Amino acid sequence: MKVTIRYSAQARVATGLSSEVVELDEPTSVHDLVVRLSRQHGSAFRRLALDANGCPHPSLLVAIGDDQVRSGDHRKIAPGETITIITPMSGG
Amino acid sequence: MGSTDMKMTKRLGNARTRRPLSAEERSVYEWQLGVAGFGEEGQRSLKSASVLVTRIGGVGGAAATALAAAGIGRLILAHQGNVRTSDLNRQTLMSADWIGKPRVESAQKRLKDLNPRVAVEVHNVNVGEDNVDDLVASADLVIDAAPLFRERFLLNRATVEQRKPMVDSAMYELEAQVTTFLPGRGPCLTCLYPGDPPGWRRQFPVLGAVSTMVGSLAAMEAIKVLSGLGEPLLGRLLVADLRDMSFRTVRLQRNLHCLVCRELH
Repeated sequence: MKVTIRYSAQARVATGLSSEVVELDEPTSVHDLVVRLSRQHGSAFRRLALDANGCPHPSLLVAIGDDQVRSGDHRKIAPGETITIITPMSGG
Repeated sequence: MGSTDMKMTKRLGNARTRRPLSAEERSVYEWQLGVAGFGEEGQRSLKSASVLVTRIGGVGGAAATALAAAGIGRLILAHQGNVRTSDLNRQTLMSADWIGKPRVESAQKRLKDLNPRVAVEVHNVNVGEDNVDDLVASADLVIDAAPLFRERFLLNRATVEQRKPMVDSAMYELEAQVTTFLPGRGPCLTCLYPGDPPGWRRQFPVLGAVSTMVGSLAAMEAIKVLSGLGEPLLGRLLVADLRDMSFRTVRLQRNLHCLVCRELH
């Protein structure tokens, strides 16, 4: 099944992508998707997305459609869904 | 927004504490007094309100400007340090002739020039453990425009403890995020970010037009909460990307295990 990943802010810079379509061979959780994307996109994205234990960083915001989910959520992603990786930002 | 949330926002404009408008003020605010759902009651709510803006860089400066123009009663500005040349791409309350002088003094002068009816209290300090409780206590609402998460988390903790609304405003390159927290009515900042985000640095790339927009959005949220106008971004994060001018809101979750606000729910 195919899902669309959108990257914002630092995640967009780290991956060099605004969005991509990812093919998943089996039902995949948000947690596993973040880990997979971290393997795929190298160290800059991995530093943003994973904690010291290799798990999705709790301060990484993830949205499925227009609903936030925890980056470590074990909910399975449905075919065709759009997942947005939202990294924190601040004032200045 | 549910009725309970509406009650909380209306509470900030309690009729007993709203100060009346003078004839001169009716003239100054004539254009906005005609806004449906705002009117003289909304203007009196703003006049009676105090807003803490920390800091007053690109985002906070724009927010303070919009609130001063709108006729907020009192602005409390906190930002340590002097104007630097690298501030001038976005910090519209600063000017080239004020390089090396305190930012808060420039901001105070510019805001008083814009609207002398507004009381502008300035603090040449950044938010820290030693001052955050007093700063938050002095205001009805807080606009968090700080670049460091350490300051943002302190403001979040103090606003939750004091049950004060906080508008959170942020940017990066051409992107923006704005949301409003009402303690006990949805998530707080620590629900979203339980700890320091990895890889965040105090200086980051951004265009000044982005910070001005974010500051104006934050001011609009403050005006809505204080006057009861419209629907603030409670439990919703506005996410904007000015590359393609896309604006959307993401429904946010409370963190039931949040160390800051779990006791409120």
